[in-house]
Amino acid sequence: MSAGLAEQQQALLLALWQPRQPDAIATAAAHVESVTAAGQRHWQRGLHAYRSNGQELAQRTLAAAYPVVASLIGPDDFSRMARQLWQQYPPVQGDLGQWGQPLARLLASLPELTQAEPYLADVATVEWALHRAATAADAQADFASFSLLAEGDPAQLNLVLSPGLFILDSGYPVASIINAHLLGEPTLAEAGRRLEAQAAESVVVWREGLKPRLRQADAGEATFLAAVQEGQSLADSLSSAPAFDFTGWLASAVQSGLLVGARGPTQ
Amino acid sequence: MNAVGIGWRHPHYRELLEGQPPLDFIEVHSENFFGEGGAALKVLEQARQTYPVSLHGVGLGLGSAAGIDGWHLERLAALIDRIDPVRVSDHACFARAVLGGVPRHASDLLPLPFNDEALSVLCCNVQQVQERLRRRLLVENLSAYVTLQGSDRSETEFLGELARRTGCHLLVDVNNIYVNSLNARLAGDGPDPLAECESWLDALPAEAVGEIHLAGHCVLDDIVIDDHGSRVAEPVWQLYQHALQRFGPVPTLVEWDTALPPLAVLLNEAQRARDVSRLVWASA
Repeated sequence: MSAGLAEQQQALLLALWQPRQPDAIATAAAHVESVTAAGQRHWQRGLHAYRSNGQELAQRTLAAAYPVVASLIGPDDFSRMARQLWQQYPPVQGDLGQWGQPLARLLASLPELTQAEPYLADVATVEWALHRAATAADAQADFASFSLLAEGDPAQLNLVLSPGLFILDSGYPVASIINAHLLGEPTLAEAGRRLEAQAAESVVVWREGLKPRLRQADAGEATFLAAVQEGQSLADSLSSAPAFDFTGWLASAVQSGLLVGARGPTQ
Repeated sequence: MNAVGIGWRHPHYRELLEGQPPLDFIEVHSENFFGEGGAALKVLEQARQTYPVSLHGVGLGLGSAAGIDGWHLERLAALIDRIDPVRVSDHACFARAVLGGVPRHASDLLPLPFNDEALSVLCCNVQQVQERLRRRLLVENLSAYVTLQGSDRSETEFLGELARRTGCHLLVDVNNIYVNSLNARLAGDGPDPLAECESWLDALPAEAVGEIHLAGHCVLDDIVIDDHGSRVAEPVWQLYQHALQRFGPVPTLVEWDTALPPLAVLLNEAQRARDVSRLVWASA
C-alpha cells in the first residue's frame, strides 16, 4: 500500500466532503497541479463540479428510495435533507442503492420537521424496507412443504417467510399514509382522518413476486412474524401472539407470497 | 463493421424490450443490478435474451490505494455469472479512501496522477479483479476536473503500460479526451483541443483498445462537464472517425445518462456511429 497516493486520495475526499474542516482545502490544494492563476481558479471550480455532482446524485438516489417522504416534506426540504444526509452519512460502497438508510435517524433528529409531522421517521423506515425488499433474493414457494403444517409437530416446525420481510410497530397510521401516496388506497383524506384519530398501525413489508408490498398487520401478526423471524418454532411463535388468527391468515399469506415454505426438524 | 450499442437506462426499459430495435449490444451500469433478486434483474435477463449485454461499472474505484471493496467485487461476480456479459468495464480512477478509520466511497470517478505509484496500485487492483472474475477487464480513461500532482508521464503512456502489465483492454472514451482538452485550455494550459486529442489517440497502443465510448458534454462559462446529457458534439464525431482509423473496427457505445431523450434519439446517434464507421471502412 502506498502512503503517498493514499494521502493524496484522502486529501481530495476530505476536501469534497468536509471543506469547512480546517486545512481540508489547503491540504488538497497541495496535491493538485495549479501552477497558473487560471489553474488555481480552475481546480477550485473542478472541486465544485465534483461536489455538485455528488449533491445531485444524493437527491436523485434518495428520491427514488423515499418518494413518500419527498412528497410529505416538499422539494426544498427534501433537497436540504439529501445534502445533509450526504454530508453526515456519506456512502461507504460503490452501489448507491445501498445508501440512504439513516434518513429516518436524521429526520428524527430535526424537530423543525418532526413537530409538524411526527410520523416522518416511521414513514422513512418503512420506505427503506420497501426499497430493500425490491432487490431481495427471489423466492419460489415450496408448496409441497406446506403439507408439514397438517402432519408435523408445530414445536418442530419453522416457517419460511418472504425474503425482505420487515415489520414495524408504529404509533402512527404509517401503512395508511404510505399506501395513500403510492396506491391511492386508502384516500389521502382517509389517511388524514386516521392520523387525526391517532390510529396506531403495525406494518408488514414483503415481496409478492417481483412487487414490494405493504399493509397493516392483522391483530397479533407483527408479534407472530417477529417470533418466526427470530427462528422460533411455529408453536412458540403462536404462543407469543395469542391474539393472532393463524388459520385465517395462512391461505392469504401463501397466496400473497408472504409465506413461502415450512421446514421440519431435519431440513 | 464494428458493433454499435447504446446505454440502456430505466426510462427506456419497456420500449426497447417491446420494439427490439436492431442493436449489436446494450450497456448497463453494473451497480444498478447488484441486488440479489427483484424486477431489475428479471428485466435485464429478459433483455439478455435479445441483446449481448456489456456491464459497465462506475464503482470499483480501480485506482484506490485503499484497495477493492470485496463486497462490490463479489456482487459483480454474481451478476456476471447471471448475465454472461459480452464485456465488463470500469474506470481508471479512484473512489475509495479511509477517512478517520472509516471507509468512504466518493460515488464519483476521481483522477489519478500518472506515475509509478498510481500505476502499481491500479495494476494490482485490476489484476485482482481479473483473477476473481476470470475474464479480461476493459478500463476507461476519465474526464477529470482536477489534475493531481506527481505525474511523470502522459496519460497514454500510463494506460498503455497498464494494458501491457495486466493484459486488460482499454476503453477509449473519445468525449472524455475532448472534455479534458477543453478544460485544459480553460485552465490556461491547452493548445488546439482537436489536434491534442488526435495526438492522444495516436499515442495509445492500438492493439489494446477494446471499445469506444461516445457521449455528449455541457459547456459552461468556466468549465466543461462530461454530463452525458446531450447529443455527441461534432468535434467528438470527428475524433471518433480518427479513432476508428487508428484502432480498427472496435465496438462502440453511445452513452446518455442525464436528461434522457426519447429512445429514437439514441438510436439515431447509434445510426450515426454506424455511418461514420461505414465511411471509414469505405475509404480504407
